[in-house]
Amino acid sequence: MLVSRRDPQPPSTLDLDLERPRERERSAAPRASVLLDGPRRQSPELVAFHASLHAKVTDATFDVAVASRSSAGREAIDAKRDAYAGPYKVEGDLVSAPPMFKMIRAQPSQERVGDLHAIVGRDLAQAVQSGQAPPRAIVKATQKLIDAGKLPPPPGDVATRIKQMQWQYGVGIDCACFTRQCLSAVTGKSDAQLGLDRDQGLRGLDGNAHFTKLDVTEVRAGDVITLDPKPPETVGHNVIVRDHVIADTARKKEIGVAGPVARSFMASVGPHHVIEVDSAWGAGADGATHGGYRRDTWILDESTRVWGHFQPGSGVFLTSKDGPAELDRFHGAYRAKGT
Amino acid sequence: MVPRGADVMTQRKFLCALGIVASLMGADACQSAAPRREASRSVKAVMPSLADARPVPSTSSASGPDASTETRAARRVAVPGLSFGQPIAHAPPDAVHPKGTLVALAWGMGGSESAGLVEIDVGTGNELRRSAFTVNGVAYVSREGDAIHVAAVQDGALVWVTTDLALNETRRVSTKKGASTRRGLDLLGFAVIDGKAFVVNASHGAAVEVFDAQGKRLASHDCNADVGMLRHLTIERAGSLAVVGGLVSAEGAVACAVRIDGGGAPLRRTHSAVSSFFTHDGKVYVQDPDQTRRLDLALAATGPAIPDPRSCDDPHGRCGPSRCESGVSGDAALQMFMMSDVLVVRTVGCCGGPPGGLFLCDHPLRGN
Repeated sequence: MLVSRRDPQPPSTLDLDLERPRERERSAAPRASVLLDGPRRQSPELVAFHASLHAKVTDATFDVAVASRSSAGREAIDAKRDAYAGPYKVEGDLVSAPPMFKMIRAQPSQERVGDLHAIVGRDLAQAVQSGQAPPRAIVKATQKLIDAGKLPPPPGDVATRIKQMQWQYGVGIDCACFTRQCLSAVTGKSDAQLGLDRDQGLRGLDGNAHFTKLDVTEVRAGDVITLDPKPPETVGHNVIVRDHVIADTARKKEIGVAGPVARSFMASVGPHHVIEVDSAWGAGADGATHGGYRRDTWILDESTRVWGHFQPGSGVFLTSKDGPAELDRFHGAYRAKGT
Repeated sequence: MVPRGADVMTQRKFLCALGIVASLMGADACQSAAPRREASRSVKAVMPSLADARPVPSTSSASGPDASTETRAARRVAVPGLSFGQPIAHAPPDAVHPKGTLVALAWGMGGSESAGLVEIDVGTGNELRRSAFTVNGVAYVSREGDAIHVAAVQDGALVWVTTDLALNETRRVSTKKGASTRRGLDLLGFAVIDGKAFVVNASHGAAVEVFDAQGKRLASHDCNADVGMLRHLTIERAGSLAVVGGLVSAEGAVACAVRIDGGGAPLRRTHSAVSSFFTHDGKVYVQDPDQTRRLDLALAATGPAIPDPRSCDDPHGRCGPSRCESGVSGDAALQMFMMSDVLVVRTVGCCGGPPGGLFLCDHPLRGN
């Protein structure tokens, strides 16, 4: 909802369902309107009225700004997702397929990784097998494989078979790649401009002057969440926040359908922060179909700081005090400065 | 720990696996100690599972006319309450443990964050003994001679614990907090070479730092690289160099080496973005998706493509497949080596994927 500077809406009609900024953010909000700076010599009642109106409109204007930024962030993230998905020309049709997972080392089950360079060229093969390739490289290599007749035969829908083919040939991206690509789309800045050129895995954001650390309850579209590995794991995880809302009654009911654990979790006092995150997720040793690009929902109960999440593949709802993943521990949430 | 009665070749082979002969006699000593088939064949020629995407039948039998394609599913090393990390070869085969034993870091000893050492029978996967000591957090293990070394970061300082082969703690050294020249200490790799600790500190970029036996910092070298996604770096001896594998840069994968005496500038060479490096029997290798080659002491690829030497650790120079056919979880293999006819693989998960673990894969050897 737009708020006119010249014609502020009455408080009763302001859209207060939008996300509420924290006090620190509110203080940084732009001034609402010169008109509302108000006359200096008025009755106390009128001054109070103006002050009240000013605060509400400032809040509302900030909410609108946040909503606008969140909307822009979502659009940028969705555009990046779509860019990674093709579309591919397959037997006269255009098919979109989200990218498969790939990290620097290939798995033994990726049996065709050594053949890729002969089909797409060595430079492109190295780019897409590094797990760090931009969308155009992934799409180009994948289309070349399709054109070379490497798409596995049915069964399976075309998008699933494209992912199978990407797995076999080692074409794909890892979580840090997708997160950095989305950061670039949201901020319009390169890795170097964000200080990420020496931080491929996004493990150094605490010391990165281009980022501000947030409480996770403050995140919005375009922010980054990092998870640390629990030993003996070594890698961890990174995601880009795609959306964040407080669960209302309908959402609580919807999540509670997952089972008794979810119902019990959503029945607490909350509030329950429902955080939608995008990333490229590990596919295991054999290229699990739930690996690669995926959108997940994480839920934080702010009153207990317990996380809830759905186990990849099985969809089982799990809870943990450590973080929203079985292997990893929540580390931090970050926002690129200037966004 | 080399068994009595073992022939000279077997003893030397075992010592080579530990890097001892290489350090005493030079890198080429191991090549003559364990002659193997490093002919100019392609990897595909000796690894049908890599060259041929047809399903490979699983079987529990290691005999038969086509043993090269017969494999067994991996066995996860599972001890209740423990999560296993980095393994190292420990004792060679003997009458009691016909496949030998390994030692692995294990978390969950006295707390989920506490790590110690556990000796495992490679044949059965059973625990044989565990250390009494523990360290907290991320840890690495290294072996030199009859000493096993464990490194971890506690309260910002490097803690370096030494044990004997029975896993009894014999020495513990802590560097002073801030002894590193870097901001903090983010330990991503560790090895003891000639009694000195070589660590990779990733608190800012990737620096190789060298500490003496008293924990005093002797040198710090910047490899001018990033640590990459795996966040696990290998440091191994190759002749007079300590070679770090697992680094990356915008230009590609980076091999970095520092002199073991700590002097001079680091040697650095960039390879393709999909290259990885490993050291075996005192020699350094670069592995790309389609080939494995040796690196010379300038860290440049040299010679023809060869079979992955890690799958050929057999006294008779035979090779096993460099993979487990099934039963392994995780997103990347960090360590892999052969003991007898068992492939030892340690994996980790990545990016919210399934967890890794320590696996034993029985493989018939071939190529005799």
